[in-house]
Amino acid sequence: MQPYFNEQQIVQIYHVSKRFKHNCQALEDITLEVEKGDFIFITGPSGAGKTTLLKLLFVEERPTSGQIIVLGRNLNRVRESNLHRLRRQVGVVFQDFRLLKDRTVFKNIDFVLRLYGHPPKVREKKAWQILSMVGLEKKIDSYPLELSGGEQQRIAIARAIVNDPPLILADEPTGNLDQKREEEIMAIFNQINARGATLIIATHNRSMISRMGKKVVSLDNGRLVSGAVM
Amino acid sequence: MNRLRTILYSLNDGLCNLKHGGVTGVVSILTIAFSMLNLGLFLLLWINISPLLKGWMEEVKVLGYLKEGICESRIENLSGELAKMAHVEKVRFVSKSEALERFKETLGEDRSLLEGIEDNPLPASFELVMDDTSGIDALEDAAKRLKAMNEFDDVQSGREWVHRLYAFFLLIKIVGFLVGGVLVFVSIFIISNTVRLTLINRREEIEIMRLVGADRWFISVPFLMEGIINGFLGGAISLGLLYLLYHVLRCKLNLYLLSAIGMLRLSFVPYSAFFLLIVLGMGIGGLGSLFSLKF
Repeated sequence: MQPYFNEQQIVQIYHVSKRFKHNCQALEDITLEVEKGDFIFITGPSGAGKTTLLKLLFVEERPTSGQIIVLGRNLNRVRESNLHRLRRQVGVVFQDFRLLKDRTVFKNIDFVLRLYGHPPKVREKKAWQILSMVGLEKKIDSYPLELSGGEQQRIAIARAIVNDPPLILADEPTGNLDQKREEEIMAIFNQINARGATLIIATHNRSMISRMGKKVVSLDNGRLVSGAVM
Repeated sequence: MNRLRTILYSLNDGLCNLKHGGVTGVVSILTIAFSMLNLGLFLLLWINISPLLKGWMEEVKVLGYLKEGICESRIENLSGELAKMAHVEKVRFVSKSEALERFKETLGEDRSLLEGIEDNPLPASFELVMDDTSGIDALEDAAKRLKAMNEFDDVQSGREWVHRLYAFFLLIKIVGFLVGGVLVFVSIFIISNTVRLTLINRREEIEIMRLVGADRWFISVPFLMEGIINGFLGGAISLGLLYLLYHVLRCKLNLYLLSAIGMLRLSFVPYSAFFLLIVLGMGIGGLGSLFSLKF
C-alpha cells in the first residue's frame, strides 16, 4: 500500500524495518504516526531501537524496508544532495551531543544560525537569548571540553532549538542532568511545544515520563509494544 | 546575499583553517611560492634577454655582393627593387670604397697591411635588414631572390647564426614551460593532498555540520578559501623572493659584463606580472582544493 501524505501528520512511519550488518535486527515492522504539535516520548530498555528510530527520522540511517514521511517528504526519495533542506527543519539533540570541540559555545550555536544566513547582530542576539534560556550565557566563550556533561547537553539542546524548527528530536536529552536541570529543560521543551513545535524524545527515564504526562510509545527488541497510532 | 555572506564567513573560516594547518599548510604555501618563483624567474629572464635577442636579430642581414662593373643607374634600380621585397625593412648600398674603409676600421692598428695593395679588391654590396616579423623563411627567401639575380656574385644570409638564435629562443621557451608545468602540477597535487588531510582530520566536524543541515557549499567553501588564501600567500612570497634575487643579481653582476653582452641594466618584472603571479597562485590553490573536494 502506497502511503499518502496527511498534512496533520508531521511524521508518518509505515512498516519500517532496519537491519544492520551481521544480521542485527534493530527495528521490525514499525508503523507510527505523529501529529503536528505532539509531544511524544519513545521509551524502552537499552537496545530497544529508540536511537535507531530517531536516526531514521533525520536520515542518519536509511531503513532496510518500509516508508517514512517527515514534514511531507518521503525520505526514501530524498536525495543525499537535498538532505540539508530537511535537516534544517529538524532540530536534533544527539545522545553524544556532537559539539564542535575546537569552537566556543557561541560558535557552536552561531554556525547553525549561519546556515540561515542571519546577519551577525541577529545571530549574536539569538545565540545569547538561547544560551540564557538553557542557563549557559556565562559560558559563551568556553570550549565544550571545559564544560561538564550536563552543560554540554544543554548546548546541544540550545543548538537544536535555536532556529525554531517545526520538529525536534532528542535522544536522552536529560541523561546527564540532575532533577532540577531536568525539570528546567523539560519546561523549555514544553514552552517550545506550546509555540507549535512537535517533539519526539527518546528516553528510558520512566519517572520523568510519568511526571510529564505526555504520549508514550514503547519499543522492545526493535518492536513497537505500545502506543502505536494506527 | 546568503551566498555572499557564506563566502565572507568562509573567508574567515579559511583563515582559521590556515592557522590550524600546521606543517602541511606551510608546505603547500611554499610549494606554490616555489612554482610561482620559477615562473617569475622565467619572466625576469625573458624581460631582460628578449630586447638583447632582438638587438642581435637586427644584426642579422642578407648581404649581396655585386659583380664588377654594374652601372650606377642599375644600382639605383636594384635598391628600389630590393626595398620592395617582403619583410625587408632597410636596404643599404655599400660601395667598394666604403667596404674598404670598413675593413680598415676592422683591422685597426693592422691597417698598414693594406698599404701595399693598389686596387681595391673588395666588391660593392647591398645590405638587407629584415623587419621584426621576419623569420628564417623570410631571410632564406630574400637570399634566394638575390642569388637569382645576375648582378650578384655571392649572397650571405647568416642562416646558421639565425638558426642557432631561434633554437636558443625555443629552448628557453620549452624549458620554461616544462619546468613551470611540472611545478604547477606538483603544487595542485600537494594542495589537494593538504586539503584531503584536513578533511580526514575534521571528518567528525564535517559529519556534525551535515547532520545539522549544512549543505555541500557551506562545508566546502571554507576549504576552497583555504586553498585560495594559500595560493595568495605563495604568490606574495614568490614576489618577495623574486625581488630579493633581482636585487642581489643587480648588485653582484659586473656592469662591464652586462655592457659586454649589450645589456645596460637589469629590469624587474612589470606590475602586470605581480598580478599574474598572485592570481595564478590563487588559481593553483583553488584548483588543488577543488580536486580534493571532488566537485
